[in-house]
Amino acid sequence: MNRYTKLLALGMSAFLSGCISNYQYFARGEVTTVANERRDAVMYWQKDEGRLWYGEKYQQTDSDINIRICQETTKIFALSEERLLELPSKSGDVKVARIDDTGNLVNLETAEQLREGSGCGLILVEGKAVDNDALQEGMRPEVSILCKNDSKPERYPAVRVYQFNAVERKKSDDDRRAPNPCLGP
Amino acid sequence: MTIDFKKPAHILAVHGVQTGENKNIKCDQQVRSLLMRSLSDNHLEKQFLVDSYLYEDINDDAQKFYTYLASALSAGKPLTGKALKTVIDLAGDVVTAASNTSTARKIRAKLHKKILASYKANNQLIIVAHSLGTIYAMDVINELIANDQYFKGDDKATWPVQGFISMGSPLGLALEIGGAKIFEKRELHSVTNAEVSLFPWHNYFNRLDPIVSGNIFGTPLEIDGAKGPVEMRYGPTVLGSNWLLKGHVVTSGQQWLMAHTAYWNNPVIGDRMVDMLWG
Repeated sequence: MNRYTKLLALGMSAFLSGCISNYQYFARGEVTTVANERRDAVMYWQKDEGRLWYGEKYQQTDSDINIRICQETTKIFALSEERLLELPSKSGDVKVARIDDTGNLVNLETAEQLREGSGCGLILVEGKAVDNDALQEGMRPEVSILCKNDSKPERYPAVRVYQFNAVERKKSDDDRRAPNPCLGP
Repeated sequence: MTIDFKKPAHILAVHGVQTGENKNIKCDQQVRSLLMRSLSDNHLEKQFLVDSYLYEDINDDAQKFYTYLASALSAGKPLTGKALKTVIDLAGDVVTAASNTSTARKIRAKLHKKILASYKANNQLIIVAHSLGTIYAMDVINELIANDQYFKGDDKATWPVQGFISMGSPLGLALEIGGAKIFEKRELHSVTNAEVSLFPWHNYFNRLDPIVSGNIFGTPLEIDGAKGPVEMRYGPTVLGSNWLLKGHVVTSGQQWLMAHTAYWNNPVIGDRMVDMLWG
């Protein structure tokens, strides 16, 4: 961008930028690997809150919830067709459990071979699967893991329901750093 | 020729509408920074190589005549000249991509070649594209899927591209200007014989991004859950072609054009790349 384009963009941005702030929501917890090792974890998402440049109120939550796990890859729960936060399966995954109506984990009699993108986990609050708007500050979410992958066992934590601490909220940093999962629950 | 998943992963960043020249574009650095942060925060060590596909110079070459014309028309008026050249630079990029000119074909051919260079070296590759770059990236992936040398069913070692991340994409816009269709809907080719595998396409968008919504003043886009214009347009048909299109709404505390550029430092993009490559 040359100097004039930058000036024009900055001018327009200043005019069109209202009063929107970005907040980070997060909850710390712990998961267990299939090798039975404990790992610190943190779930996080972001939300815009404020007013648009023409004064209208605006709020929007990220549609995903990311669960960062120390020494493992992040598990990304995305909104499903049913508008629930679901962990999409990948190649070679098998589903070995489900969540019943009371929020308990029930083992399946026969493991189910999944097509990619099927549900391998849910986010629960008080035993009910939820979407991103339902998760609020102070709530204690649970994370259920329902799949395993024998050829890539590190893909998922052990199949069970994990209780996380209460959701906290803070203003996002200027450099937009996501929370570090390795700081303990 | 197949992918060796033990070799370092390749990530190819494809930029969007730009002014200036190739040397001004730093999208590879931005992608590398997101990836490094995600890995280091999680205490993971992985080998990877980030490269960028730059095509601004091809666009600039094609626009030379109009740039000279702008210089001639604005002789003695430097500010007018700068403004005219910037408009030609930006609008020219859009027209090139939208109208499938010989310049667009040249850009696609070079991208095609770059992707196959990673494949021939047996490295897995994902593509991260922004804005107008998502159109070129999607068209080339689609061409590769149509070629029966690649994407042989569930055998992902035959997939030259393992996944696609689009950010701030105008692919959902069904614009018509003066009878000409801009960003016409593409027919997606099918990954044949794939029983359980789907080609992952993660589309990130901000409701306040005017390039996604087509709302010139950045008024919020109406969405359905995580479905924006791209998912509404392509969603019903992609699954039948064995593509897995997932829409992801993101936020940044920014509005209008700043919302359009904020994807490049959003940590969720870094987490997504790590998940696609090593998850």
